[in-house]
Formats: sequence, C-alpha cells, structure tokens
Amino acid sequence: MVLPLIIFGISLLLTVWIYRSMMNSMRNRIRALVSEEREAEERYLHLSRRKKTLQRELKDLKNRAVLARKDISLAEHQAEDREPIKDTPQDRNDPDLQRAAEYMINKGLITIDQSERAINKMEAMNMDYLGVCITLGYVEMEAAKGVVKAIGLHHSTLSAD
Amino acid sequence: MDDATLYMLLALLLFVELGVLLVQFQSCSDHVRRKRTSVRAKKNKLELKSDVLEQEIERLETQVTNIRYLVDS
Repeated sequence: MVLPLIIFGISLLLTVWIYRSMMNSMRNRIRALVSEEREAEERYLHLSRRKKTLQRELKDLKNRAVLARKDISLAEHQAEDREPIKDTPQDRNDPDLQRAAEYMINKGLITIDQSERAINKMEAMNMDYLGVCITLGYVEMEAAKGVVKAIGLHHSTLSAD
Repeated sequence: MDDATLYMLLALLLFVELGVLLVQFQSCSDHVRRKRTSVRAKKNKLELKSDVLEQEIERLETQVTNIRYLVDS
C-alpha cells in the first residue's frame, strides 16, 4: 500500500515541476518576443520624431528664405522707386517749383521770361527746375544751392550737397 | 482493495497527469507560435515603414542642408 502512494506522490511532484517549467519557458519566450517588438516600435518612433523635427526645421528655413527674398525684392523696389524721382522732371504745377520760381524772380536771380523758358524745357531736358536753370546758365550753382536752402527744398538733387 | 486494482488506479492517474501535461504543452506552444507570428508581421510592417522613413529623412536632410546654405549665403 505504501509503495503505490510513494509512486503517486513522486509522479505528482514531477508533473507539477514539468508544468511550472513549461509555463516559465513560455513566459520567457513571450518576453523575448515582446522586447523584439518594442525595439522595432522604438526605432520607428525615433525615425518618426526625427522626420517631424526635420520637417519643422525645413519649414522654418523656407520661411526664413522667403522673408530674405522679400527683403531683397523690397530693397530692389525701393531702389527702383527712388531712382526715377531724381530723373523725373518736376510737374509744372509743383508747389516747390512755384516757390523756387517766385523766390528767384523776387530776388532778381532770373527774369520771368527765363523762368518760363526753364519751365518749358524741363520735360525735354528731363531735369528739375533748378537743374534746367543751371544748365541754361541763368543761375550759378552756388546761387541755386542758396535757393534750395532758403526755401527748404529737401528732396531737390542740390539739397544732397 | 487488492493490489491489482490499486496499481490500475495508479496507472490511470499517471495517464491523467500525462494528458494534462500534453494539453498544457500544446497550449503553450500554440500561444507562443501565435505571438511569434503576430510579432513578426508587426516587425516586418514597421521595418518597411522605417525604411521609407529613413529615405524621407535622407531627402529632408539634403533639402535642409541646401536651404541652410542658401539662407546663410
């Protein structure tokens, strides 16, 4: 009676041991697989983050490039806008022209006739009023500069000097 | 209870234990196999995506380098 009981006990212990070994082995294999899966996921996430960072950086750089291009074109436009002002002759009804003509006539620097002639030649010579007067020899350069200072023609080409 | 009956009962119990172990082994193997299949499928998919991402990253890095050179110059 004792021997069968001993055999039964041993077999039961053996069964439990084998069962637990199988369970441990399965857990270890599954753990290894999960860690393999996590490595792949981490690599993918790392690459995604890197891609997003690069896209953001690229966007910033493009914005900077666009802004730089706008600055350049704005500067070019300003330069273009500034150039014609020097070359464009004054309008006949320009208040500055009227003031300069009146001042010069009043001071006796030119006659009314000379002033009219200078105004008529402005467009053909593509110059401002004082420039035409100097070119035609009606006034000296120093006298013209004095006129500019006296009546405050800040945007005249002579005011730069 | 005579000895023959006792040994027969013992043999029956041993068979039951063996059966339990076989079923458990089968169940564990099946579970691991299913898990391995799913992990391999997911890993392959992620590797494909990662390869595509790596190519995109290379392209973006080239673009960033070029634009940075343009902006700096």
